[in-house]
Amino acid sequence: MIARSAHWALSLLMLLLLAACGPFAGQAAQPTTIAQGFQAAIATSEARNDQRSLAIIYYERANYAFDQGDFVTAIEDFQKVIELEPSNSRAYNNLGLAYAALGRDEDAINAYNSAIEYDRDYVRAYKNRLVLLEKHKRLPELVSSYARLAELEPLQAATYHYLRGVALRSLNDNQGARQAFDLALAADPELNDALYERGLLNFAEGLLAEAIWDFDHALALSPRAANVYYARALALQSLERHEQAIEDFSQALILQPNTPSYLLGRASSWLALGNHSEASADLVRARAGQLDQTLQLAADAIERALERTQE
Amino acid sequence: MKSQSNTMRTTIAWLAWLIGAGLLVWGLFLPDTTLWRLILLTGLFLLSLVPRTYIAAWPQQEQRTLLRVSLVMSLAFLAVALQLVRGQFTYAGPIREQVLAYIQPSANERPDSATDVRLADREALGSGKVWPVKLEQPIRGSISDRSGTVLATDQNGKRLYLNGELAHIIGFDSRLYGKTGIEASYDYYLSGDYSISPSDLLRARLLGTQIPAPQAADLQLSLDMRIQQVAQEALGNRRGAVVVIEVQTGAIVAMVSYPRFDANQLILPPDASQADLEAVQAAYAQIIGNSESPLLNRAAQGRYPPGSVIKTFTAAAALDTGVMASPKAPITCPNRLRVEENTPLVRNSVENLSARTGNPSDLERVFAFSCNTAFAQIGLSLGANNLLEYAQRFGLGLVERPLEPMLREITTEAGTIANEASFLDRPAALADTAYGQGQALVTPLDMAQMVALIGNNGVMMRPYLVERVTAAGEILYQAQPEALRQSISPQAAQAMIEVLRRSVEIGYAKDIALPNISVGAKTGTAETPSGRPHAWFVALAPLEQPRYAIAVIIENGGEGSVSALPVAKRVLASAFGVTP
Repeated sequence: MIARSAHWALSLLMLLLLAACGPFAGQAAQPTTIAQGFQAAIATSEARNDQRSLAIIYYERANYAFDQGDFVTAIEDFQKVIELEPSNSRAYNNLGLAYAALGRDEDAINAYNSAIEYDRDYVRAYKNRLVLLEKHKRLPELVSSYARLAELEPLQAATYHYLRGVALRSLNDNQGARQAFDLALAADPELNDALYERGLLNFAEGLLAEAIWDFDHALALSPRAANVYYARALALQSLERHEQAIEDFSQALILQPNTPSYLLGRASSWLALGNHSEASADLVRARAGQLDQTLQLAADAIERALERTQE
Repeated sequence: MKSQSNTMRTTIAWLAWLIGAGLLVWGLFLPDTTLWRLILLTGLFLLSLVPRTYIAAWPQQEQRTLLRVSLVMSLAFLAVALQLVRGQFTYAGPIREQVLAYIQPSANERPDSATDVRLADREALGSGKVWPVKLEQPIRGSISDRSGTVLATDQNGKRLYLNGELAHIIGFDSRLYGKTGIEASYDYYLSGDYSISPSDLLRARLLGTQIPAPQAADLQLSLDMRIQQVAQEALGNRRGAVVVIEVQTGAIVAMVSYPRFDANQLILPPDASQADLEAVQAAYAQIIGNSESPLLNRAAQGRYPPGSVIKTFTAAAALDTGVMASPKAPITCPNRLRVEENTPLVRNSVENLSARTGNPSDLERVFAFSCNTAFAQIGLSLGANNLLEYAQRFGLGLVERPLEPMLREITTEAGTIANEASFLDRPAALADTAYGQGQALVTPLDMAQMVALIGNNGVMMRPYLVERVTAAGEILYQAQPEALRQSISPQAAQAMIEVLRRSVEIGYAKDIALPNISVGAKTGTAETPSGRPHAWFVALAPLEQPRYAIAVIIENGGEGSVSALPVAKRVLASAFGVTP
């Protein structure tokens, strides 16, 4: 009797479970059905004058439109949500995404700004805004965004400090950049990107020994990083240590053969050592590659110097 | 008693069951999730009391254990079921709202900054940013003569040639037609390119550091505009050239060629209009269409038959080899000389020249009166190998094997003694070449060099036009006299000076004589296929301590002593500050 009762009780529980999971297990609804469902829900909420429900339904419908690629409708619905709930930071964020999808980057950034204004800890809005700020190289805003994200995501703080340092370097704020790189390295001593960038910063400020120390340590972590060999070679070149510079240029060229900047760097060291045939050979190889305007100027300068020595 | 106790326990258990069920139903509608969880646990505990009462009374120990496990599982299922019921039905709204708040469309997620590549495998570090370097274009350097007189400068962004007569030397810096002359060969300094370091550029590109703006340098030429001006005037509007060289250094102090062109015509202003453009194009078309080739710098590029001035070379070679022991070494000057069967006889330009040279004569006299037959004999005595050897020493090659021009700063042609070496194997050709016929073609610069080396103890110096390059008071380049070779011995050079002196004292060149300045010289008259011969004249002065060598050619000018000599005389008089 009791065993039978237990059997029935378990069966009832299973039925309850099935009933609870039913809506999730069902087949995906067709778009038309979904749209009709949204419309019906909106009508019901409007009839009840339930502003909160209405905002939620518009929000859901906007997200649905977004996922269907209908960004114009998504924008309209997100704006309706914002009309109903002016401080809805999520709606602003998603509105920004829809604007960005349409290429309206400025509107998108403004929407993200509003999202952040209403929720100072809204990580996703910061990240979404970063995409556009990085795209448009809006450095001052990037700097503040990275700083805030470093606070909001402590596990990613090293990376954000590093990125902030790079942005500050671009703004020629070397002192700020140095602090940022130091913070990045304090958070993660093996963040070799920060080591390299700090090395460049030291190099730019004429602190050649410190620069070479940073490059040495970056190479200890990443011995296949060709551009670090190149940077160290240029630093050695500044110290007139051309033989060592040539070794580093050569190592960079082993890792990334025929890179024009590496070839031109080595050519200039060969030139300084008076080995014109090697300099000329590197120059010819460099000219076979794609040279940007600055590299073109460097190649021309080497060529002229070689011509003068041949006269 | 025991039965009463069991009944009491069962009653309490069922009472607890009812309370538990009520609590759970109530809790399903509570918004507070924490309170709900507390109620859920309490309710389930109360519900479990009834089955536990029955299980405790179960007789078989093994089945009791099984039933207890079943009870725990059932309660767990019930807990999940109630939680789902709450989420799906009674508390669906708040939960949905909460979830929606975190929904973001899946597109446009920012990629994580972190890389999956292992540190040791990274092929590049950092942002990869490079900093484009833009160099400011400095104002192009100026060009002045040796005394500092500015000859070319920039004015309002436009190149200005203050002396339009110097285009053959200075050249031009034209946006339309490129750079020529000194403007081209010293563009490295004039443009400031010399101050651009490739290492600086690469560092600036990597680091974003500033590099110093290029600094244009100024040139000071070896030209002496005072002598140059006189040479220009003396040559006038006759096709030809004048070259004056400083004997001991090789510095060219004057180099004139006519016809000329004004380089200013080819320079566009920075904001050139269509009319400016058309004017420059028309000027260029007029220059290159001119049949008299004004672009040709006859002084350095004009290759002419040397006529009798080549006898200077022949005499020097003869003295240096010992073929002629001294200026007084005997030689005859017959009217005619048969050198080879079936070839024309060698003749002198005038009949009975021996009346002037004497018979027998000597080297000085046959040189002074330019006796062809005597020099034909000297040439034959020298032989082809010696003639070729000395030609090379004097900077004259073969058409088939040309020498590198000695002057490097502007476009220059090197003279040649013959088309090919085998030409001189024939005696008649050798004889002709020795006195100025044959295939030899030389530039006025070659002939000035020929005389200059005689005045420099037989040492040929490299000719040059740029004396100094300076920038901000710093000397970047200073011409260093460069001895190319000892072409003839100092003794032979000294003997040649005597030969040249006598040529002025007794010979055709006597009209070059200047007060208080001893001049040695040689006239030349080079036959041309048609028209009047080219007039040549070369000279060296002062002979005691030679300073200047000069060569003059006037195309179709006739006799050298008549048309070329006066030009040289005027130039030398000016150079030495004497009145001719």
